[in-house]
Amino acid sequence: MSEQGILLPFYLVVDVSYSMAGRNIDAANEILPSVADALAKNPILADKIRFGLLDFSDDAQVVLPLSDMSGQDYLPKLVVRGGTDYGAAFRLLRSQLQQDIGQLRADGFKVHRPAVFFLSDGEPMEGWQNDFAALTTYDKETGQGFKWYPVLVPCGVADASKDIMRQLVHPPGKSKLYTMTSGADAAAAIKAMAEILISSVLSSGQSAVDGNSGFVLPDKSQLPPTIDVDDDWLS
Amino acid sequence: MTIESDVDIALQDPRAVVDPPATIGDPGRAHAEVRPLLRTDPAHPPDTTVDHGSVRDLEIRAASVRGLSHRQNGIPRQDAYGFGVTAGQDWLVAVVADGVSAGHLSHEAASFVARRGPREVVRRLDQGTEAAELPWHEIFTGLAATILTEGARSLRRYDPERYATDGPTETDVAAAMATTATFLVCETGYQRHGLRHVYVAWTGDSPAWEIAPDGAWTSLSAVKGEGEEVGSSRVVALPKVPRDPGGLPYQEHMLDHRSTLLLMTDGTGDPIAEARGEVAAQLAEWWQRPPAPLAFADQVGFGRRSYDDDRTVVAIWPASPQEPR
Repeated sequence: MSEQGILLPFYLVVDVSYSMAGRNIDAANEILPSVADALAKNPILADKIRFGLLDFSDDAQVVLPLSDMSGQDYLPKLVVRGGTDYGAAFRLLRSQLQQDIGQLRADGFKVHRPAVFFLSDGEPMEGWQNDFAALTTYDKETGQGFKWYPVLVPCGVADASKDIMRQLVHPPGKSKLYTMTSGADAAAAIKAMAEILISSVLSSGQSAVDGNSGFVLPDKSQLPPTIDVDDDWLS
Repeated sequence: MTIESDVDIALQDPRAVVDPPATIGDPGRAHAEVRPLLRTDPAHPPDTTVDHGSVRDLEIRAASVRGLSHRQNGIPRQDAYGFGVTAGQDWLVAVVADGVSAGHLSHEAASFVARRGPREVVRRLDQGTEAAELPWHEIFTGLAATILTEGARSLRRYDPERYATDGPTETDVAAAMATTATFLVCETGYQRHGLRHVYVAWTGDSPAWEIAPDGAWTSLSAVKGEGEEVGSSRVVALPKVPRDPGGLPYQEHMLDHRSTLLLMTDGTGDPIAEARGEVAAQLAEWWQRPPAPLAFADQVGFGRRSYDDDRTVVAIWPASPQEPR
């Protein structure tokens, strides 16, 4: 047992390529305040949750470092730029996880495996697979790979390729792929993804309060109509 | 109203001078912000219970405080404690019980153990069983049987329709209520060489600690999660009892009679962890000598970020002749 208690780190990684401009980026910019509002209403969960925001296009940036949302008076905004390079997102994510989780553990916290919601609206540039493997591969027996690999939950809207997004689900037993139902409005779908994210933050936090340690995604029956969930494959 | 009269009022009415609630390190938001739901079901235990008293050479404080999460959600406190003293006042028996949160009637199981457990142990000591020879497996098995019987009765009361024809099975009861139990049997006097006999028997994860006169902490039971990379929340809890009597953990100690003994549930045990950090240091400072009973309850409920479980501590000090009894 650690003396400093349990923390659950959540990250949201948002595609800010030019195709997100307009209502989509506006919808994405509503996610952070919604998370802050949800946690403001629940101090017990707020004490356990840390939240961070990363964006990516041709490069990736830390928009909000992993934070205690209670202390945030100012919430930063996402701004569109450039193309869609998943590799850049995965590289930054890995180095942030290494740094953040390492620091929290050094501070004496017992840290839950981080959860990452990965929101994209388009097809990525080639060559992200090696960076994805470096982020997600870990062999418990030998200790080879990245010990603090996240639970990665891909959320695809608009032109995001279901086939590519499906490859990002990790680990397959714990995560799911969320995609927009065909013909739905992308901005509405992003709002719906935010609901899934917040529901997951709250129920995972409650699970920790109850002494369990599971990352929780909402039940299929609770999903908004604009969203399809893909969780019935054989792993 | 002048500032002067404000001061006068504060001095005349001690209720006007309230210390801020006890915290250790970063209290987080929940400790200050959670608004407890009022307990309206008289079958539920009170939010907080406090006891204090002395037995021969010993001074005792006990407090059980509902956790922030249970307060927020209106769930009853699932922790309990209890005491017994032998007829000759030679032995003090204390128990703490932590109802397992998965069972909706676990507070009842904890309460059975707190009420019946010490009585069972005292009865055997009064009948002449040596404290070192107490048949713990038999005692725990008897308590398990009590939980199963009383629990079946409770379940029938809560859900008469479901159990109209067939009564609840043992599996039904065990799913609805389960509790840890840690007993501490303590000599009220001490031997000529200044050592006191202390016996600890337990099932589950409610620890017992000694704070030596120099402030050093020593575990009298087992430290949860020691040596584990990832903590496990699995707990062996009554009415389950290991079939093999040897599977029931038990420790005997000979302790400095000046030491403070603490028996607690994991709501307090978890933030103490391995007793190397600021929580252990602060508690040792607060509890060098027995605090006023209500101050003790406030300290048991100390605020610390992300710790929101029910808390229970039974603390035993040697009585000091200088202190008013």
